[in-house]
Amino acid sequence: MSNHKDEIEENNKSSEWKTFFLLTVCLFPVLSVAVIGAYGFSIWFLQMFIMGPPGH
Amino acid sequence: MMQTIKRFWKIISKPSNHLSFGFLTIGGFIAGIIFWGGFNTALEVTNTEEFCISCHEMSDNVYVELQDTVHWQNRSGVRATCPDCHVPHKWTDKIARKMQASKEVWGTIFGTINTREKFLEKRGELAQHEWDRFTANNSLECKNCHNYNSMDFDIMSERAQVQMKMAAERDQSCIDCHKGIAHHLPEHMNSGDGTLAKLEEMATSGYKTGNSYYSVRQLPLFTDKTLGTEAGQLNAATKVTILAVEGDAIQVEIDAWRKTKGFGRVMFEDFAMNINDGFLTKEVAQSDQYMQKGESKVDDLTGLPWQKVEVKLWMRNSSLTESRDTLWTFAKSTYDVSCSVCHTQPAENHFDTNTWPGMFNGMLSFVNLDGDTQALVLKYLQKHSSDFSEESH
Repeated sequence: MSNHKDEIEENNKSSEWKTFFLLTVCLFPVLSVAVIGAYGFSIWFLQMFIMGPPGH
Repeated sequence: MMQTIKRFWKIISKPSNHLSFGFLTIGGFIAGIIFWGGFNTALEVTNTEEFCISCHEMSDNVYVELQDTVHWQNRSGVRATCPDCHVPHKWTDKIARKMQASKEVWGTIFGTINTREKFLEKRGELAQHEWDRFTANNSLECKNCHNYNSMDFDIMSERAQVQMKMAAERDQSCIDCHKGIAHHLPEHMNSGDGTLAKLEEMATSGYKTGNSYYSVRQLPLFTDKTLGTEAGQLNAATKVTILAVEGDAIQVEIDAWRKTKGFGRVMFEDFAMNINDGFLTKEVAQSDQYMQKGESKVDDLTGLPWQKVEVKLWMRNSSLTESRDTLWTFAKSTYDVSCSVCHTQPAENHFDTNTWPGMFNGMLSFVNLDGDTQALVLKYLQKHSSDFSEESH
């Protein structure tokens, strides 16, 4: 039982680092760009169908 | 796969065992800064001219055309790059425009306008998109540099002064008049080119005292022969009688009618006919010094009082012609060409004199006529309306 727990703990240190980098370097940047892109697209579509070209 | 995601979820959903709270916060914070800096840098890269002209559609067409214009090279050495005019500067609009550019990427991949011919065919549509945008935002991107308040009207030419002052008063959108200033106009829209020169060609010279002439275009009026103080503007194709010739200046008499409600600044050719002969400044219109007042009548249709006036003012010794026939010929061909682009134009005598201005102004946004040509064509239509036509309509 205690052996098994140690194994997980051991895994944990490197997996935590990996996860940290995966999140900060890949996942969140990609998500941010996607969200901003989606925001941009939604504004564009609104302009096309509802609002008309951007005023001031 | 499922296993990996499960393990990943297990790690991120629990407090960290090995990485300290401070490290995670600072690490996330710094990663955020680096990301946002990188994002903006990338955004700025797409906002450079080098990026725009990396596609041959841009570099071979619009970019080359720009190089003949004042926005490319001028005496003060300031120039506009593509994004200065074509990318909104506000963040939200900018992002929307960047996403809209996916259409341009699509176009490049599938070669929508990959030849000059295809581009020329699409030019009208593409230009209209930009005009719509500039109209909606009141030419915001122009006004990021050009400001009505910073314009020195005194160093403009007289003709420009008149137009620019009127535009400034209304904070008019630059694109209303300045289409085709940085790239060529769509093919069928070139009718506005060089009309001023064409109109001036119709002017004669050697005007004699006592004779009557017609203005070939809108001309400035002055209070005295030094031509120093502006008194108003004479409309195109308007009759004047020469009273005196003094070098570069001539004194003219304008026989007109005006509505005596308000300041009476606008002069009309005849009683109850809204045929514009020009306008006077408030000072001149309210002073008896420059005009002789004649009979007064009330127009029963509108109930407005009209008054006959003989206005005596000074103008430059140029841009008059002996007969309106050449002007009418030019106006007719412009009317035929410009108005038949979209529909069959109505016969001149289909409307009466006072109906034409409304009809005409309603259609103006669909054509590209400069102010002089507009004034001339409208006057032509009014003078050939059902009120003047022999055949009844």
